Amino acid sequence: MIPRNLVITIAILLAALAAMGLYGYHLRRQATELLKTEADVKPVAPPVSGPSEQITILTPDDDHGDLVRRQVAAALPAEPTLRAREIVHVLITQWQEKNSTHPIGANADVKEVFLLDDNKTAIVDVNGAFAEQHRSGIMVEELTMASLARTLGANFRGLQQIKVIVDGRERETLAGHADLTDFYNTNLDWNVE
Amino acid sequence: MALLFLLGLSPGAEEKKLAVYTPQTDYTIPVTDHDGQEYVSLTDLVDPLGQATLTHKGDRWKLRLVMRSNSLEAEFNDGSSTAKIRGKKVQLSHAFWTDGQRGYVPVTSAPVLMLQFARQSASLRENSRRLFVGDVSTTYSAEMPKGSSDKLVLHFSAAVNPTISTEPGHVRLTFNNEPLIASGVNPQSFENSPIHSSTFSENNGAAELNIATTAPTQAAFSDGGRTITLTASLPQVAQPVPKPATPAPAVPATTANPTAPAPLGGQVAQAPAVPRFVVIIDPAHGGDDPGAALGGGLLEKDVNLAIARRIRADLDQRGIAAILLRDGDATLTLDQRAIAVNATHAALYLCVHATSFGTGVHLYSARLNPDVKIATRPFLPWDTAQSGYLDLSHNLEASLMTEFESRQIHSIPLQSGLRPLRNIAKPAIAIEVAEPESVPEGVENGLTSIAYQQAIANAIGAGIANLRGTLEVSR
Repeated sequence: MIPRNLVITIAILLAALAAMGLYGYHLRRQATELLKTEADVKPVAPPVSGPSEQITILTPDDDHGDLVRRQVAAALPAEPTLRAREIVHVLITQWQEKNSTHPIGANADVKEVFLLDDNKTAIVDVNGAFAEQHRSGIMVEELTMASLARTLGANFRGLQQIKVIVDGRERETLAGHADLTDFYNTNLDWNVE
Repeated sequence: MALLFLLGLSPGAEEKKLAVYTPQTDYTIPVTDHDGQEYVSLTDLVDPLGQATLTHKGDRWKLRLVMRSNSLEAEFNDGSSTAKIRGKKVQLSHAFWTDGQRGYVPVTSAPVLMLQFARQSASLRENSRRLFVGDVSTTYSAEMPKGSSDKLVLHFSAAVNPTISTEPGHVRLTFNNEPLIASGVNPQSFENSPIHSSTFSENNGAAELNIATTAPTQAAFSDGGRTITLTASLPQVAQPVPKPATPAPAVPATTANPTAPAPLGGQVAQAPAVPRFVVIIDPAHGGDDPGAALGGGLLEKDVNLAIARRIRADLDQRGIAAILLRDGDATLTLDQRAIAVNATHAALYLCVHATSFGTGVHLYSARLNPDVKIATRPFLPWDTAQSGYLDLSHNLEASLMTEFESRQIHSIPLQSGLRPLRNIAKPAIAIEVAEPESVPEGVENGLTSIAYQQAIANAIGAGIANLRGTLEVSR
């Protein structure tokens, strides 16, 4: 016959073990969710306040192979590099809209824009998703580069050329075609509607 | 040799190849060794017959081949030597195996497979790896015209386009794309001539005529590529001269042409390279770089190669020699491509891409910084080597556009930073083939339409042929 106090002790210990197991499972799920969230984190545009202003963007039309000039409203910071980053961010957001004429992956975004050489050269640092989720083809990749270069050129007087890097590093091509080792002129010849 | 070096191959470790000759097209494909047997990629083998798509579920691999007039399906099982083609069981000599997305069949089973796929009997010359499908063969005869012992005339039953190389005592004509077979006496000897024999041999997917000669020899093409005349330069015999009235200083005896290269080995001089109009076609991507995914499991690298082969066949028919930078699934970097092209005396460079976006054909010339000065010889900056050739590249683009227009194929001229265009020191353009404006019935992907691919190849062939005179003058 097992003493009554021993039975009670074992029962309490088993209950504590089950509770700890449940708590451990809960912590594991929480950690997994946290990791997932971190993987999806996109670079967040700097908080911008103040009145919005009109900017010119040139969005690609893949079907016709040309750029379409549009005016959109955006709240822009005054500091030039942040301003350039926000303009590129607005442009990419346009590509990500439903029924976009130049779709790109939902996680694609700009990380930083560096202005060099008295603001004549812009280095646009995009995230890995921008390149990895970009569709492959000469025309679609060239349109992306032309859109970036012409849009920044339209909003920064004196800016002459841009170069795109991915996650802070130079890359040979965007998605197998457009050359990322070279600079793109902000007045490069492309049909604009 | 330069190409071999650049492709990472040494002459001692020559890549194994299988040449396939069919009534429609001739092509060579790489051969892989596996379990002591020689294998070829199934898609490489049949793709030039139409448009091949290989898909799989587990170990079961399905090949769908869409040809001009019909289509067929075949089933292979990884590790099995039994296949099913058009619903019939076919026994392979060794097991089918796969690597990644590619399936391989034994070379020795190629005739059986071609009988099913092409519906024509095929014979394989195993030792030389040459596969003749249907009644295809080119014969030749070699003769010396009466009264000219320094000439050897080779007559071929069809137009040929061999690679000609010289070395002391020999001129080699290598036929990589022609179903040339030996005919008559082999080897054939010629008496009382500096050209004293011609020997036919075949090896590694190519046929070769080796002309033994004791004098510098030049080759000339005529009759639309059906005749090659080899002319040996006979050394001039010193003529007896009247004895001078006064003793002259001793002068060493010379040959008639003091600028000719000195004879090698005291007997034979190296013949000069034969100037030819050669087009280099670059099927973009390949090997580890599949290019764009074009839908339905179709890879850009495979479509590029199929179109490039059609362009080569069209140019061949027009008597224009064309070389593919890759004629199989090889990996080449952009720099390797540019170096290979610049190392040749090719007349122009054409890069072939395909896309699932838009319609028609996009033509690209190099986009160079407007401030770049036109590069002049002898040294060209790598990044702007194209600058001196842009006008000719634009002429080529315009000539191709005219031909596309006449065939109702929509085309757009554009500029691109696409490499290696700006590194090419020759007229150079890239084409990106998009889907046709109307897709033929029964064709899943317009890019695989044989009629469409052929129309594009015809337009390009005609555009290049029209500009040939201008390009030759500019060289």
